[in-house]
Amino acid sequence: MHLSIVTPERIVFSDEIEYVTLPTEEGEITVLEDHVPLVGILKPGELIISRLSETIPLAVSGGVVQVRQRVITILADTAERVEEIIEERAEEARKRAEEILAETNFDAIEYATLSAKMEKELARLRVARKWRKGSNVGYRGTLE
Amino acid sequence: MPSTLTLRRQIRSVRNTKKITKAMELVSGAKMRKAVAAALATRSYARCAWDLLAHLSSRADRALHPLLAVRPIRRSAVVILSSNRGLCGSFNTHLALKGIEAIRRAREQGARDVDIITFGKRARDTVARHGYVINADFVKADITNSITDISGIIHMITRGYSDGSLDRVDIVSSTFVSSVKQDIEAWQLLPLNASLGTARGGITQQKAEDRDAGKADYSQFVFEPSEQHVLGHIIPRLLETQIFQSVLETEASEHSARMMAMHNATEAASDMVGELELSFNRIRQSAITQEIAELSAGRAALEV
Repeated sequence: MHLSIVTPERIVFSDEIEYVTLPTEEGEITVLEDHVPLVGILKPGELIISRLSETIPLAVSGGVVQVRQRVITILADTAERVEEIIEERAEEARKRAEEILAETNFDAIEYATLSAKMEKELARLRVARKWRKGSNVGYRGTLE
Repeated sequence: MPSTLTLRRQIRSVRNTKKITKAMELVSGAKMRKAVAAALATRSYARCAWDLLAHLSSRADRALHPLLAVRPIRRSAVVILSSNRGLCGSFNTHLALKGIEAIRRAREQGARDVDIITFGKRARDTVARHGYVINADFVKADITNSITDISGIIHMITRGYSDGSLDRVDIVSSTFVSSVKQDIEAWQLLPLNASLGTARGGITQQKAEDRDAGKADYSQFVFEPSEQHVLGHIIPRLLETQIFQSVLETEASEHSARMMAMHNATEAASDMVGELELSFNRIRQSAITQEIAELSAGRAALEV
């Protein structure tokens, strides 16, 4: 089964996989071989790719997933591997968004943008903390 | 025969022009690299998005979303992208002429009204000079960084199409192929049409087998949470991506066209300096020869 994850900046992942777990608006789903054709909306959260002896966790911040017979295409707004997330910076970004959100008055659009940003930063943090080296006992995959 | 003084002046002026064009070549080279990197980075995303759009529009029930509707064409819109500045060879002229061609074609195909929307000063001016009335002109920044820079156009197109005041939208843009080749073309954005994917050449390069495999099972596509919700969420965003990508591609093309134009100008200036120097030397030499001839003639007269 082929999975490609594409963001506006780059192709994050494109390779053969066994299965993938995605955060959709309806909840978390896992797509295995021969899944029915599907189009769904992703929400910010954790995406886990599994192949052979390897598990690759990523933080995504919303997008679209399309499953076709043996091809999964994910158009994500952003997608980062855990190694790429710098926890302190993510925490900082979350705090900043939170502060701005608390302090000022906005119109609806600004508010929506900011709370979307908050949600995204929270997802990044959650994923980074969960998969950080050493913090997950019994984890068998490699994090490179 | 011109005097050596006028020739020397001409040479100096051509040399100065050459310095300017050389500098402009370097500047647009730097800008081109940036613009090309931006266009290439989002290209695969845009291709996947277009692919998905083409598939969705061919399988989904067109009544489910206003942007999927197909109506008889009464009123059509042509969006012409171009640059703000000139000195890039025939780039903007080609865009404007393609635009005019698209407007004519839309009229021939039965559109009673054709809205002309321009983005970029150059094509706007050219199209207006040809006597067309421009319905909307959006101010283009020299560098488009984010999708919010073009939200005006997006809004106008999607709203117009959704409320039924536009039945077809064409975009005239340039696709960056290489620094010496740009494809200027008019393509149909709305109504969405699956066959357009292949018609648009560079944008979708889907394997034939993949497409055939898709045909069989798309009718039972599962949409999560609901078809309407998914389409409502993704169609506007995928369209935005397409417009944004064509703006980026046009910018990359603009800078490479300018770099090529300036490169040619620098070379032409070098050739010109060479020619002028040759005739300058010829005139100088003939003056010297003449002087010597006169001198020796004078001396010969004295000696006799």
